[in-house]
Amino acid sequence: MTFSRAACLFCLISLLIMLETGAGQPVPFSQPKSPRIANYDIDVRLDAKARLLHGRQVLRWRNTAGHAVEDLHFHLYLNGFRNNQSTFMRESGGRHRGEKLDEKGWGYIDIDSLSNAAGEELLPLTAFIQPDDGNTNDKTVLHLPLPKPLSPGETITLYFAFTAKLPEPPMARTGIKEEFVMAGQWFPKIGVYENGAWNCHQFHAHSEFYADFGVYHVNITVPKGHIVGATGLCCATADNPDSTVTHRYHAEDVHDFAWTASPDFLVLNGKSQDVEIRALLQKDHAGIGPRFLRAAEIAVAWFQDRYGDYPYPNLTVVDPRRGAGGAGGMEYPTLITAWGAYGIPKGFRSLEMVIMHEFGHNYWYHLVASNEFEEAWLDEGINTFSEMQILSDTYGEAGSMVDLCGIRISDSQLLRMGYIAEPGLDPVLQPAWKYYSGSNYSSMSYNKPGLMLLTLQNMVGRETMNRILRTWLERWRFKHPRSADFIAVVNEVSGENFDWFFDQVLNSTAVLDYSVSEISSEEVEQNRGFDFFPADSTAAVSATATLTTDTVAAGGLESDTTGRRNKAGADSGKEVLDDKEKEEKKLYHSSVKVRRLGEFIFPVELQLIFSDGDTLIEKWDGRSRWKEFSVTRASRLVSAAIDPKNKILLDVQLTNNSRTLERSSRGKAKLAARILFWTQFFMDMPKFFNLFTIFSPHL
Amino acid sequence: MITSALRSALARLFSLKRLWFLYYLSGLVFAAVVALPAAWIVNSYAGRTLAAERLSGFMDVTFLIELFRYRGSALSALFPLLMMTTFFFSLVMLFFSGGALKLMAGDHPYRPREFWDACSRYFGRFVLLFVCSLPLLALLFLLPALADLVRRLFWGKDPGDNITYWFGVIKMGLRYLALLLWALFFDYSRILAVQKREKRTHRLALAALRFANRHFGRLFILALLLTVISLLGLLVYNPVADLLHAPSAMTIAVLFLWQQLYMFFRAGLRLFSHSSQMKLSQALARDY
Repeated sequence: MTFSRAACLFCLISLLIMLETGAGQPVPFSQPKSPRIANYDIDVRLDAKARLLHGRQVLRWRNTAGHAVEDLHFHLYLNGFRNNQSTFMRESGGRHRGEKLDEKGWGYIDIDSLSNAAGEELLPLTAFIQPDDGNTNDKTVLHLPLPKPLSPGETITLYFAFTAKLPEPPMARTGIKEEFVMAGQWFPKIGVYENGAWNCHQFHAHSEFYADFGVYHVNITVPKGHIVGATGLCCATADNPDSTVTHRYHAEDVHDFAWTASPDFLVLNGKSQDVEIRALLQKDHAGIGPRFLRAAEIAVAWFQDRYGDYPYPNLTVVDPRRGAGGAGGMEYPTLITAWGAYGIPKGFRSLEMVIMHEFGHNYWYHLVASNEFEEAWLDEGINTFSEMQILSDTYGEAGSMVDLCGIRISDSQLLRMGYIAEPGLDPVLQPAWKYYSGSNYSSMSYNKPGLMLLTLQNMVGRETMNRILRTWLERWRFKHPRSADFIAVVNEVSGENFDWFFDQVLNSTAVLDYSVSEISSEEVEQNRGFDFFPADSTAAVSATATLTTDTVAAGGLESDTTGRRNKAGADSGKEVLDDKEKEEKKLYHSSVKVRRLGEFIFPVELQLIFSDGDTLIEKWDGRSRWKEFSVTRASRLVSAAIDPKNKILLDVQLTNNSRTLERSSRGKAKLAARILFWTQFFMDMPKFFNLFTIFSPHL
Repeated sequence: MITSALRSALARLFSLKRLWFLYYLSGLVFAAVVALPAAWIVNSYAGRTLAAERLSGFMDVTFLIELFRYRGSALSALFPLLMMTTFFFSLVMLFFSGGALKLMAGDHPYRPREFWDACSRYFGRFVLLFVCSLPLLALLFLLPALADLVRRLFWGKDPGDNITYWFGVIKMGLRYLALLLWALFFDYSRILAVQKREKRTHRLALAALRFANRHFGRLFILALLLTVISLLGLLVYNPVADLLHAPSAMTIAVLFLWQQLYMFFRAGLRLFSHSSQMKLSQALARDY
């Protein structure tokens, strides 16, 4: 081959490669990490004034089932904001996380055309369906019967043209506010086909999302001057003649794609281990920019060190605009939205908590892609657990969430507060839209599962828990696991069967509450009278004392749970006791009654503390409604406590877990003094409380 | 003039210790009306538990959370009681202020009859003066609204978070200023009622406005000084109270004493305010 021919061949090959991958397109993964079932090429143009997105989309979807598929289902999430009769609007009452749509802020997504590779127009075949509630006004699920069934392994290519209007202000994580755009769930998204059927739910007020992994090429055209952040990596930007700029993004092995744009972003860059971090801040939050970056850096390092590799090379942290709070606190692959406010004190860690939590979702949800519609706890609960851990490790447990002016509150305390407000209304495992209320959805998806896992960790130990979650990640990344899969991992890694635990927590409304209901400790009266030696007989005293001494020497423990027996009767020699010795050899019969107040059965520890400083630990399987423990020994019982180290955080009332024999006057006196003082202060200086209006600058 | 007023006021306060104790004890009794049931509710929940023992140390947030969860209704039922008691306490302070101002106007020792006579004589007038002062209070509370207007004028309907935050601080300050200015008017209207024996409320109100307007600088400076003294008291009280967190009986007793000493100081400060305002107004009237 001559040089010129070789050169031509080289150029041709290069051209083919460029056409295939896009000019300068980064390829993060040399091998696919996921099945890449749903792959999207999208061109979208933003019309900021009209709040419109004009899109063209090519979807390549592969049938991975073992049989032919005859139809397709698509999510059209933005139609949840179409009118007040959509399922989302009906369920939410038009409010979500405190946000309400402007009067003219409705949103929608319309498919203008839909065709296949053969050029057949398929739009007339489509129909909206409502698989969850039959609400015919809801247009968030589109059904497309295929002209020809799709064989197993075959890929179908579909061409969409769509127009989407983003709601204003951002609501349920997506929308526009003035110049700020947060585009989430903005394109026609195919559902998940599994177990012989489509898993494609309507958009509900209290549900999130579920989708298959794939590769995304997205070209985002926005007005010149807009700074863009999106899922994946930016390959190139191109200036257009009409004063717009097209930003080309590429993302591999992700199951969602979101983007944001604003001309007013302030960009801060950072890095944590091998991950580039880019924070897109509001200019009026410049002062707290370092906190955004630092929280993201800590989160990346902590998750990678503890659980395993974050496979993507970058992370974008978006600070939503004022008035766009509905876009905050959300996760997308490689892009998270945070929450920040000017003037937020350093000791109030909501900013850090949100960033750490949302980054955590890049593990529990964007890698381990569970179904947020049907098993919301699998990502939210596990992530809440991770959030508690990372905050505790970073800031210390006591003040992990609030450490301000001497007030210290931990994240786990706050989560427990949310949980115990209404612990027994719903089981954890049920579709997200079927909970009693939005706050119950939160409590059952976040709080209770988070506390469940913290309790589990207290049972198996921190190291085992880390191994459980590492295994969970390694085994189920880029897949769609279910709750049973998680339980299987727990049982396997821990080497114990925790079905009894998960069954009660996830599938029932049983509430866990153990208490110490009664405690007593009385001096044992020496045996006297006929059949016993007279009290003033030396022989009688010594024999009795011998019995007593034996009893004490043997520990004298009577228990109907451990089977330990009184070892009185052992040959220990005889001795004559004087009055002082008799005094010292007093015995006390102590009794403790414990109760199970809730329906949840959990094995517990009972700790008995005696006046001589000794401690006894008893175990109870917790099955019966109550149990009595008694002990006879030479010292009085001082206190009894179930779960003395407060390991069982699912217990809805830790205060009733203990009892003391004597009243504690000091604690009560101090509290009474505090209450009296604060009441005096309030009456004397009510205007002092004007100071607290600083927390609500809009007052 | 202000410093000499403060000096004489302090001397007068120390010569009326019984009155000082009366003020302090009134506050204590009224607070106890609310605090005792609240403490009972808390103590009955804490019971004989280890949680109750831990109350002698740092505040146990877990206990607090459970207290509000399981005794929240009982505690919230105390809120109307707190509001009512605060209202009646304010009325009692208004009642006492007549007698206090009468005593502060003179130099003689405490005379119980004079005190109680003046309390009952001036109480009705003071209530009417309070009612008359409400429109002024409402007007002054427009100041924060003015701040909102200024913010809108310069930064529009959609100011940055930083603007909203700092204007929030400014509005908080303006609310304090509004209360300070209103108190200025109300206090001097009461002083004039005692000094001039004028019975017609509207005349007293006008006289007070004229007086406050004529001597605004000095009256305002005195009011600010009293505010600073109040803040200083808090700044001294707080760090010491924070140190007293050990669970021992001795520390708890010392904490209680320290808290009550601070409230005694506040009772004294209230009387000192009456006294210094009276002395200053007398000095200004002499000069004028």
